[in-house]
Amino acid sequence: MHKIKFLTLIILLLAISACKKFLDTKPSASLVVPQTSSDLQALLDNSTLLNASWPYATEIGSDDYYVTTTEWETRPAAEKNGYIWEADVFNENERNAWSLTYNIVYTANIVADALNSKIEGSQSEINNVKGQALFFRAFAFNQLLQVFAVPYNEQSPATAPGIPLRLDADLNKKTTRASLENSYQQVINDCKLAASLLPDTQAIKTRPSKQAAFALLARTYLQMSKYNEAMQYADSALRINAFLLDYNSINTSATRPLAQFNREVIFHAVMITSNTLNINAKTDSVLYASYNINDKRKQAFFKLNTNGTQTFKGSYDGSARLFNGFTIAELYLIRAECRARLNQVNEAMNDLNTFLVKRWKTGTFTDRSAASSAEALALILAERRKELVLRGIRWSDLRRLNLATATETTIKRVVNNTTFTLTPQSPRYTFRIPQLVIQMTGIQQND
Amino acid sequence: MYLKILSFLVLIPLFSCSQITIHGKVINEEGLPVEAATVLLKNKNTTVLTAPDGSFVLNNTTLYDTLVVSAIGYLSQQVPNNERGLLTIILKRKTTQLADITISTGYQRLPRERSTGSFEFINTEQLNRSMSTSLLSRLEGVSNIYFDRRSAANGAFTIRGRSTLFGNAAPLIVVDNIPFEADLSTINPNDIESVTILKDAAASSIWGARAANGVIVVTTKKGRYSAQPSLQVSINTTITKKPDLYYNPALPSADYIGLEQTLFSNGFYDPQISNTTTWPALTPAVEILTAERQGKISAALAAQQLSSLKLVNIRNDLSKYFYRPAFTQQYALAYSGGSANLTYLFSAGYDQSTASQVGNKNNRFTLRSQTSFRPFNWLEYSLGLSLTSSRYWNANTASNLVTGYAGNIYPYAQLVGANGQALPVVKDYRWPFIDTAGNGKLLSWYYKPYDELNNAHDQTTLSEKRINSSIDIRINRFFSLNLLYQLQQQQSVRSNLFNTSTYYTRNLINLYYNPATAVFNIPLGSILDQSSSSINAHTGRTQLNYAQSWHSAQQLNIIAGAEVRSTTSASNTFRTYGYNENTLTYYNVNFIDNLPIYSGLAPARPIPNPLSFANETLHFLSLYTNASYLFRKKYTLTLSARKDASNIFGVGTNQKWVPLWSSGLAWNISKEKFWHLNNIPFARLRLTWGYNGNIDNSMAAVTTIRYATKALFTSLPYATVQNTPNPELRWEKTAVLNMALDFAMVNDRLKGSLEYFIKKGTGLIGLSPVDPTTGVQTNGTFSFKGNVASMKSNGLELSLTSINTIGSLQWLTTFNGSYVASKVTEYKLVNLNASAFLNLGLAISPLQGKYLYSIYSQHWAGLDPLTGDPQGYLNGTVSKDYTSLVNLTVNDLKYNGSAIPLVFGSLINTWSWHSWSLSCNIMYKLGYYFMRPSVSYNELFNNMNAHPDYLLRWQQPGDEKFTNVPSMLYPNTNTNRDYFYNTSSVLVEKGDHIRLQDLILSFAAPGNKTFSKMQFSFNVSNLGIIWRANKKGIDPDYFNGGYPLPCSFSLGIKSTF
Repeated sequence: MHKIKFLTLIILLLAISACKKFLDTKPSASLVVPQTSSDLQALLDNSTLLNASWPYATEIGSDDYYVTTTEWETRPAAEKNGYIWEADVFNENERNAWSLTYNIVYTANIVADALNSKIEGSQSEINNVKGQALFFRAFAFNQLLQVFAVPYNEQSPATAPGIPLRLDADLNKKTTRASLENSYQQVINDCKLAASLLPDTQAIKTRPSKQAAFALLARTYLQMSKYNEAMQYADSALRINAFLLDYNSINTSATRPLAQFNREVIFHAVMITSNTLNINAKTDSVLYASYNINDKRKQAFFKLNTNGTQTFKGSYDGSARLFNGFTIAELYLIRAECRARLNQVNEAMNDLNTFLVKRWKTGTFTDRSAASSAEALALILAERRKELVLRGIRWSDLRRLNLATATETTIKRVVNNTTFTLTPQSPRYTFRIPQLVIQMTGIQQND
Repeated sequence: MYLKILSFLVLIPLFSCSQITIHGKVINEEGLPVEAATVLLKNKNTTVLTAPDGSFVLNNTTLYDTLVVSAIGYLSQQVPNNERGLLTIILKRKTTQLADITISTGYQRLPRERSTGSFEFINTEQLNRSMSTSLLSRLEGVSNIYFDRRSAANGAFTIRGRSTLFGNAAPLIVVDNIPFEADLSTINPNDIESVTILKDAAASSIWGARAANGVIVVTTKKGRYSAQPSLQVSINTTITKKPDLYYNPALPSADYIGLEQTLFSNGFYDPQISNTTTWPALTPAVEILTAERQGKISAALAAQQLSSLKLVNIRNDLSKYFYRPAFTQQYALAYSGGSANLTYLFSAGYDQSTASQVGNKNNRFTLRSQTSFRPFNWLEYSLGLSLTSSRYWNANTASNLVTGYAGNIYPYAQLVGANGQALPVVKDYRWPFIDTAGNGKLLSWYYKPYDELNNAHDQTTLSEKRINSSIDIRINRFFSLNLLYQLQQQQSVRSNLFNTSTYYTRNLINLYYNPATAVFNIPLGSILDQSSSSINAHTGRTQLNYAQSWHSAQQLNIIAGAEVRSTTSASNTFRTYGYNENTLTYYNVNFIDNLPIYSGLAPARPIPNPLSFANETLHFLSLYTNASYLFRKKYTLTLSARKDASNIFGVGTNQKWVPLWSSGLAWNISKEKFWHLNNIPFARLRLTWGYNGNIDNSMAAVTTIRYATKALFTSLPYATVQNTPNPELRWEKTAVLNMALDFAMVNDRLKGSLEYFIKKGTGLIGLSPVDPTTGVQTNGTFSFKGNVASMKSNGLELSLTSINTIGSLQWLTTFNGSYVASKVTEYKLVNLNASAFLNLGLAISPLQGKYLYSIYSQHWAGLDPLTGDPQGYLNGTVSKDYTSLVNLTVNDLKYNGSAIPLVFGSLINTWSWHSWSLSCNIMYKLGYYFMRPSVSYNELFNNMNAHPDYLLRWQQPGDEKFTNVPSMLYPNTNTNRDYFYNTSSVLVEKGDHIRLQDLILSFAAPGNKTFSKMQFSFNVSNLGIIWRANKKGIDPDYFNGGYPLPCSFSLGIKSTF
C-alpha cells in the first residue's frame, strides 16, 4: 500500500510539472512572445511612447509663459481650459495626460511581468531591462502625481488620495486610488530598486541609467519637501557624473542652441507636443527681465520676436519639442536648495556658483554669497526658475513652494480681457481625472 | 490535479475481487445487448445492472431461484435459474414509449429514458435519404440543423441559432467519441450508423468549453457479438442537371453594346483609349468604335461587326463548354459479424464525382476496420482503424473570366468558335497593344479561356488516418473503467502547375521580360505552386463508470473521467519558377530586387513569391463527470460538469476551478396516479439548465509583441505590444434553459415533442472600451478585445410523427419546425455609421436589441418626378443629399428584420404499400428578408456589372409611376446616389419560401437464398421552389450571385448477403 501511495505521489509530481508545460505551449508559432532580454529592450526602446509621450499638464498651467487670446481661441479644450485653470480639461480627447501616461505604465509592466517567467539573456542584461522598466513606471507615477494628486505635504492627511498604482499589466484588476503617501512611496521604492539594477550610465540617453534613477529620486524627494533625502540622492547622482555644459562653448544665437543628447543630459524625454506650449508660448516678461545681460542663457533660451516678445528656444531636445528629462544642472540646483534649507549655506552657495559660472559669459561672473539660509534659498530658487524654463518642473515647484507662505505665488492669466487667477491654495493645482475614468472605475474625483 | 484523478482511476482495478457464480447476458429481439437492465434474484432479493454489452454477473447465488429481468422500454421477464453456465435472456419491447434508441454523447451511450436533455437522433435510414457523398448535406432536411445557403455564408450550419458574434460558430463534430479535427469530407457517410445532435446544456455540457454551438456526435457502424457474418453492398449513381446559368438576370448583349456606344460617344472611354502606358483593357465593341473613329475601319464595317457581336451571349458558350451534368458514383462494401468474444467489421468505399464544372472532379477511397475482442467477460479491447484518401482536380476557369479590374466580363464575349476552336477574350491589356507587343520576342499574350480548361493542372490529395483503441474493464458489479486513445492524422498536398500554355504563366513571363537586356527575368518554363498542410491530433481519455440500482426502483449512473488532447497543425506554401515537369529542373529567380515591368505596364516590383509557413498547437486538459438518477421510472435527475484548461485560456482561467455544468429533470407525468388523460397515455416533461462554452482560437492569453524599425530619437529597432495579456481570457459562456414535453397519443399513432429554449451568451469575444488606467490600446484606441459582449436567443422546436395508415397503405408524416431568434443584448463599442449595417445581412454588425443578422435599409421616398433621382429622408424631410444620406447613423435607417429565417423546418410524408414506398420532403424557411441587387450606374460603366434593371430605368417624367429604378446619370458624378438606391428599402424582399427538397421511390425485394435483403431506390432532389413570397422569381438562398442547386436524380441499390 505504501508503494502505491509513493507511486501516486511521484506520478502526481511529474504530472503537475508536465501540466504546466503542456498548458504553457505557444498556440501559434507566428506569435512573437517576448522571450529574450533583447525583446524586452525593444519594447523599452519604443521612444515615441516612453520618451515622447509625457504630459504637458506639468507645464500648461505654469507662470513661465503666456499666449494671446487669438492663439488661445484656436486650441482644443484641453489646452484652453488647462491654460486658464478650468476644471474640465481632459474630457474631450481620450488620448490625454491620464491615458497616455498609464500607457507608459502598462508597457513598463509588460516588461516587468515578462521578467517573472524565464527570459533568455545574461544577468546584467536582465537587470538592465528590469531597472529601466521600473524607472519608467516610477517616472510615470511621478508625473501622474504632479498632475492628478494634491501636493505632498508632511501635514497632508493619511487619507489624501494619490493615484491608481497599477503594478502589473493585468487589465482585469480593478482600478482604485492608493493613498498619497503610498503613491509616493511606490515611486521611491521602484526608483531605489531600479538604481540597484541599472548601470551607472547608458550608451543611449533614451534608456534610463542609475544616475537617472538617482536624479528621479532627488526630484521626487524635493517634491515631497524631504530635503535631506533629496540632497543625498542629488549627491549620489553627481558622484557618477557632474559635468556641466559651458554655455560659452555653444552658439547661443543658433535657432536651437542646445543639442539633443548633449553631455549635460542624464536621461532624455520630451512632453507631448501642444501648440500652446511648443509654438505659441511667449516668455513671461518678468522672467525674461530677470536674466542678467551677461547670462548666456538670455540669448541661448530666448528668441526675440519682432513685436518685442520672446519665445523659448532652449529645449535640450534641440527642437521645438519641450525637454522634460533630467540634466546635471538640475541636480546642482536640487543639492543647492536642499543644503540651503538644511542650513549648509556655504555648501549651498558653492553648488550655485559652480553651476552659474558655466552659464555666464566668461570673466563676468563673480561668486554669489549669502548671509543667511533664507537669502541663499531666495537666490537659489530664482536661479532654479531661470534654468528650468518649460521643463515640466515649474508646476511642481509652484505646488511645493505654495505650501509655505514665504514662497507662495498667486498667478494670473488674461484672456479676452478677462483675468483668471490661481491662488496658492487653489484646488486647481490638482487636475481633475478624466470623467470617463471616473465613470468606468468609480474612483474618487478630485475637487 | 488532473493526474491525481487519473492515477486514482488507474488504481481502481487493483481493489476488485469477488466470486462469480452466474454469468448471463440480456439482449433484445434484434440480438443487441440491453444495457442497464435490472436483474433481480427473486428469493435472495439482490439486484445487478447489466453492462453496456448486456452482460451481468450474480455472486453467491443458489440454483433454482428465479431471475426477474427488467429494463426501461422492455417487458420484464422471469427466468428460472436452473442450470449453471451462460444465461441468455431476450427481452421484448413494450409498445407505448419513446423511440427505442440509444443516444450517444461521445462519453456514454444511454437510453433516452435516462436522459433529460435535448437530443436529436438521426438513424441510418434518415441518413440514407440523400445519396450525397457528404455527411453534412445528408443531415439537411432530416434534422433541425440550419444550413445557411446564402452565397457568402455557403456551408455554414448552426444548431439552434448562432451562439457567438465573432468566435468560432461551427458546431463541434465528434466521430466515435473523439472530436474530429480533420476535413469532414474524409468521412464516408456510408460508414455512419447514426448521428446524435446534442442541443441543450444537459446534453452537451459534457463537452464543456467547446459545446456552445451544439455537438454532432457521429457513430460509425460496428460488428456485433454472436452475429452471423454478413456482407452489405451499396451502389448508387447520381446525375445532376447542369446549373441554370440564365438564373441570374443579365442585360442582353445588344443593350449592353448600345450602352457602350452611348458612353463612347460621350467620351467615357477616352482616358483609357489614350492611355498607352498601362494599356487598360477595352471591350471588343469599344475597340471597334475606336478603330472606326480613328478611320481604321469604315462605318459600315464597324456597324456590321457590332451587330454580329450583339448576337453573342457568353452564357451560351459557358453553358455549352464549361458546364455539364454532374455525375457521382458511390460504391460501399461492409463485411461484419462476430463470435462470442470477437466482433469485426471491415468496410471499403469508393466514390467518384465529376462536377458540373468541366475539368473538376474528385474521388475518395475509404477503408475501415473495427474489431472488438473480449477475452474475459470483464475485459473488452476495441481497435478501430480508418484510412481515407481523396483526390481533387480543379481545372475549371470559369470563375477567372473577368476583364481588367472590372471583376466581370462583357456579356458578348465569345469563347469558342464555329469549329470548336478556342477564341481569345479581352483580359488585362488592350488588344492593339498585345497584337504587336514584343515584336515576336514575347509569348502570346492572348487569353483563351477554353484552352485554359485543358492546360490547368491543379490537384489536391487529402489523406486521413485514424487509430482508435479502447479498453473496457469491468471492475466489479458497480464499477467499470474505460481507457481510450486516438491518433488522427491528416495530410493535404496541393500542387498547381501553370505550364507555359496557361495565361497566368505567359502573362508573368511577359511582364518580367526586360527588352533592354533581352532577358526573361522569370525564366521560360512552368510555374509550380505547392502547398501542404498537416494535422496531428492525439487524444487520451480515462473514464470510470459506476452503475447501481436498488430493487429496480432507483437507478444511479455516474461517469467521471479525464481527457488530454493535443492538436498540432502546420502548413506551408512555396513556388518554383522555370519548372520543367519532364526533367524536374527549375531556375532560381531574383525575389529581392524591384525588376522593371515590360513597357512600364506597372511600376517595377519584385517577382511574386507566395512563401508562407504556419504552425499551431492547441492543448487541452479536461475533467468531466455526468450522473443520472432514476426514481421509480418516473423521475430522472441528471447532473453534468466539465472543466477545461488549455494553452489558449489564460492562467487566471486555468487556475480557477470553475467548471461548465448542467442539470436536468425529467418527469414521466403520465405515470402518476392523478394522470387521467387516457387519450395521452404517455407524457413526459423535461427541464434542464446549464452552461456551455465556446473558444476563439484567434485570441491568446499571453503577451505578444510586434517589431518595427527606427525608433524616434535613436533609430533603433523597437517593438510594441500587439496582444494585451489577458490572464482571465476565457471561453465564451452560454447559459441554456430548455423546457420540453414529449408525448404519444392515439395508440402511439401521434408522437412528438415540443421544446422551448432560452440561450444567453455572456463573455462573448468582442471589442469594448476599456478603463484608460489599464493603459491598454487596440489599434490606437483605448479599447480591448476580450470577453465583453452578450446575446440572447430563444426558440421553439416542434417535432411530430404521425402514422396515418389506411388499410395496407402505410402513411407516415414527420413534421419538424424550429423558431430561433438571436439578438444582441450587450455590445458597447458600436460604430453607428449606416454603412456598417448596410451589408445585405451577410455579416454581423452587433447592435443592442437587434438580430445578429439583420437587414437595414434606407427609407425610400420614391423617384423625383422631374429627374428620376432616387430620394430618401434626411431628418424627416425628403432629400437628395446623397452624401448626407449615406453618412446617416443606423438609427436613421429602416430596420426590416432578420436576414436569416426565424422559422424553418421540413415536412416528410412517406407512403408504403407492400414492398413499395414513396417519400417526399418539403422544406420551408420563413420570417426573413433579403435585399435584391439592382442596377448601379457606377458598376455598369466601370465594372461591366450589367443588371437588367437598367432597362426599367426612369427615362421621362411619368415613369416614376411604374418604376423605382433611378434615371441614368452621365457623367455619373455621384457614386453615393448609386449606393443610396442599392441600399434602399425598395429593394428589400421577403425571403419566405417553400421548396420541394426531394422525392424518393423505393422497392424492397423480398429476401431469398443469396441475399437477405435488397432495396432499390430512386431519388430526385432539389426539385425547386413551390412557393415564394417575392414576386421577382428570386431564390432567396441565391439572391446575390451563384445559382440554385440544380435538380439531381439518383438510383441506388443496397443489398445484404
